[in-house]
Amino acid sequence: MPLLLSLAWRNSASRLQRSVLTALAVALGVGLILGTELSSRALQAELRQSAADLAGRADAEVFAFSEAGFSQDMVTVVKKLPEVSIVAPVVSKRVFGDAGGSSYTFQVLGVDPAAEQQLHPFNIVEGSLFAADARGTVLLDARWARAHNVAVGSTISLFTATGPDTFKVAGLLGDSSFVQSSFGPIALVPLGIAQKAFRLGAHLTQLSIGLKGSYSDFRRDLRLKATEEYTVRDNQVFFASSRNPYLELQPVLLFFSVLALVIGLFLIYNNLAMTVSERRRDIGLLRSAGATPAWVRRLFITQALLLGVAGSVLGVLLGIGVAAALVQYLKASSGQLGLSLSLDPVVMLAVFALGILATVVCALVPAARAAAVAPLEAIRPLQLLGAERSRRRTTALGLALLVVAGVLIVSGLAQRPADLELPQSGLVVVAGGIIALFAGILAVTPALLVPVTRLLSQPLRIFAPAEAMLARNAVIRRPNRSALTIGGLLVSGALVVAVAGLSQGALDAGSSWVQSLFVSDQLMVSPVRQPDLVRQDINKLAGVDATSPIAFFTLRAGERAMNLAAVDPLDYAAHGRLQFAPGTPPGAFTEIEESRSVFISRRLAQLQAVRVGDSIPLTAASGVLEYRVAAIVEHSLPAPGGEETALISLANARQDFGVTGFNILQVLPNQGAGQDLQARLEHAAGQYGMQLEPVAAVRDGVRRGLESLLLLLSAVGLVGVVMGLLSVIQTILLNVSESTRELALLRAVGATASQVRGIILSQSALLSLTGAIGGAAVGTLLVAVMTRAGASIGFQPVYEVPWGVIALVVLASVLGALLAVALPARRAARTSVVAAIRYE
Amino acid sequence: MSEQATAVQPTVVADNLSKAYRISTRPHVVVDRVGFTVAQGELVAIMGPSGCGKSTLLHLLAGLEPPDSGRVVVGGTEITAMDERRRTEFRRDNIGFVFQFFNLVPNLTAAENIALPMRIAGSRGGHFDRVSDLMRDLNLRNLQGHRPEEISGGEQQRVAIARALLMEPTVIIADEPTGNLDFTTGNEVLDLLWSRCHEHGQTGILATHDARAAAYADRVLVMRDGRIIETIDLGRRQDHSAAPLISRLAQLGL
Repeated sequence: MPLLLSLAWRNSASRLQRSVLTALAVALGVGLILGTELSSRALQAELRQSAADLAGRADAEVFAFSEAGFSQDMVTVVKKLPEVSIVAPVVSKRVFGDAGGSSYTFQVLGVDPAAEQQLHPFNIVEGSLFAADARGTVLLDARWARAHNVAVGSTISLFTATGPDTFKVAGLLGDSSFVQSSFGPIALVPLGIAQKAFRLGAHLTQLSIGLKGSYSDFRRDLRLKATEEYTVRDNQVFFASSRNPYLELQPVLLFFSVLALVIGLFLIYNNLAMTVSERRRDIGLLRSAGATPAWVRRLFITQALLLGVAGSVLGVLLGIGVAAALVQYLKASSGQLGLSLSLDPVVMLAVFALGILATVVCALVPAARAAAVAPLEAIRPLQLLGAERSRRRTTALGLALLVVAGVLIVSGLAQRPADLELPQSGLVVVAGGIIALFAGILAVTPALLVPVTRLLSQPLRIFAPAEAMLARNAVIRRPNRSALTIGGLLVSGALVVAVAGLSQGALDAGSSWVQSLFVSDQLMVSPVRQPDLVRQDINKLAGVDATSPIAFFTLRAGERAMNLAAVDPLDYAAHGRLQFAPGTPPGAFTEIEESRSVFISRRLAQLQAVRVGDSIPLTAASGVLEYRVAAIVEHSLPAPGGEETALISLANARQDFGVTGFNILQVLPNQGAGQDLQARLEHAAGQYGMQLEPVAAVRDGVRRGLESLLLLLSAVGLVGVVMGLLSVIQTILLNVSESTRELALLRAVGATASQVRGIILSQSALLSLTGAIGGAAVGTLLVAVMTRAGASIGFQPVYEVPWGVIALVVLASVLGALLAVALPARRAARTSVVAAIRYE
Repeated sequence: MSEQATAVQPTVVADNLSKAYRISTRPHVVVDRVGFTVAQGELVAIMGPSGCGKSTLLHLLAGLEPPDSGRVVVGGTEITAMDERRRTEFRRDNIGFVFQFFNLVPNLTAAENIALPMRIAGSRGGHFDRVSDLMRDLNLRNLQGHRPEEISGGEQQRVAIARALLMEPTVIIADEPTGNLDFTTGNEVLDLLWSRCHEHGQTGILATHDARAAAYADRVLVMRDGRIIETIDLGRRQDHSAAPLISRLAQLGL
């Protein structure tokens, strides 16, 4: 064993550059897989934790429908239900307030400290909890308070029913269910104090319930006994279904990581295969000196083990770095502030072992080839017989795979019913088709090398005909090696182009629906419902032609809650860009203006299983009213909580449900209104506690959210390209080392050093260009496939060729490959002709 | 014959050439203050045992590596004064070099191998006639599309000579050109070299340790330990008999 180890070590050390490249490739693959896995675990733990924080020990939440909230009777009914053990009543109200010299819209929560503590721990990190009857005290979110210079003991002012009132900060809350509100800073006050200060009487907006019986029994009994309108939520189901978009990207990230590892494995295979071919004579000598085939096999597997261990150790370190970077990125981009990395030794060990195992598996074929070298065969020249026949077989297999790929992709996409999402089975078929496509392309690449490199070397021939010819010859001489090298770059390049193309389509889809939602480009957004009088004031501003209000409210629709947005259909008919689903009957706007009907979004239609013409029972104070679905729109206005809404006319909202005022005011300027209108609008918005927000800003917000995720994906994909480049570099290094004599011969017959350098650089350019252009072509095809496969209700990405990214991938690949081989090319060009000719 | 040759301007001048290689820390002198001239049309053989410095001397003459000291002048141009690039270009245009092994680029056909120097010099097609003339002259016509591994050793060497002749070089330098060939094939290659000097007036220098090959030369330089210890004038002869050379070498105790 020591001899084996020592020989394996010397073999690796004698080709240090190649060994380092190989270990680096393994490290990148292992690092990416470990990084993705560790960060995904951190994120899942954080989601579980935040779900637990949010729910606390509450099993269900009962929300009041009417803005006035539940009466005490309802609380009594709920408390008496046999399944209920604890009820924690909450009242919430959005109010203006001042803190640290600035104005904010606070979400004031009135809570009963004794009951609440049994369901949701307060987690006071500074100061103390208030007593149930403590007047003028408030608890704030610690993180918000610190960021806004508000300390325990200082005071804030809240706008109560009697005007501004001062509250002393009694304590600060750490991560808990209370600080998860998405409506600005929260302020906790004792329940009784809140009811009094805001003149809410004994009303409550929410009841948190701890159950001793089952949720389904509770829900049934609640339906039978409830005296007021409500909606109820099963916390267990609700928090289990809350997902982070990053987790949905997880399979794609993992795919890229596995791809990186596969390229790394190809490099190991290539490295060892080359070592075997270089050392045929040494192997022959070892065999004649008595080494058995098994011993030779062990020698090469030991060499692979050395590379695998070095690469995997480096990979684990890299993986920790990648995970730390991903966690930081997610903290910054998605606000997962509690996210923290935990280094699970089992995961690290498993990925480490995977790296080594994969390396050894890759070594099996070259090791077997080495073991098959007969002592005498080693001194014969390389046999190329049979290579041609096996190449023809591979090409035929590749063509068959391409046909299979075409059939799978087309039939997979055909499973998509008109205007609906591709079913899971269709996605699986399409994915199978994509895998077959890649495998097929890899198999036909050796046969395509001759014509493709002839074509691609044409431009080079104009400037350097001899270099172009010799470089092309070097590439096609070992078609399998070149094809594998090109394949690595092609697959990663294709995926980067596909992801970029798809994201461009997604971004465009994202931004166009945002535009379609509003009738004007200037929005005044209010955290609370504003009275109609405010609208009249804004209408009077110079430069304002008209305004169109949007009011959000929630109703009970059968068993579910439904969010609605009241809009003026005539404004939308005149200025709107709402995108209707195909087949929408004309006159939809007149219908929602003149009759009891609504527009609903495609997603909502799918969730509620309704179509145009169906009716939805909406519960009003006067009873249940049947509303007809007049049309389905691609997207509708999102409610303040982000939920999809149904669009209803302002007249119906007022008449049937008593909704007045607005949450968003869309301002239509006069023709020729000057630049100063913006300033006037901003001023007016500020007066009423609103914000002026251009639609472009809303659209940018949507784009940014998408972009940050896609950026991450592209970054991981680019690592794949880097790995592909590593394989190009390795192949060039091998080609150069194998052609030392040939290059010297060229120098002897008159090729200058710069010509030799040109030959090597041209080889590199040809390989990378073939890979990158192939990748771009396949990637563009994938964009078309994935755009169609990924289209779903409410998400219709547009097919767009990402020219910019294609140019970037091609340029980066070629420049990267040229830069990377510049040094070896220089060294080869400087090699002494005489020494190289003597080399044997 | 040699007097005739020295009367005219020499084509190759080796002036006090020395070259040492560092083996471990001590320099090992391979070529030691060697000086001679070769006239136009003359074929000179350099003989000597393995390791006497024959190949290194040829490398210095062809400009494949620079000497430590001394000068090499080819066709009136001092190549030892040139930089690497100019020396390479000069070699491409004026010196044809034939090695014992590894003469051909494996993945180029015979015709492509012959055309190599012109392609390297930037020719785009004007070399076709020249290549086919050479292939006809060297009896290689049927081997045009064959790759090196598909033809015999003698044919490979003839292709190498054709390549060396392509640029109509002033000097043809051959290092053991028959070392790897059988008797008949070796003779074919030597006949070819001799006729280029005799009929085309090109200058030939060949290194060999085979007296039969050296007997084709007009003059034989005998080397030992890096120095020329003897010059044997054979004169231009049609029969290439090795007997006079062998008896002269015997007289010298070599």
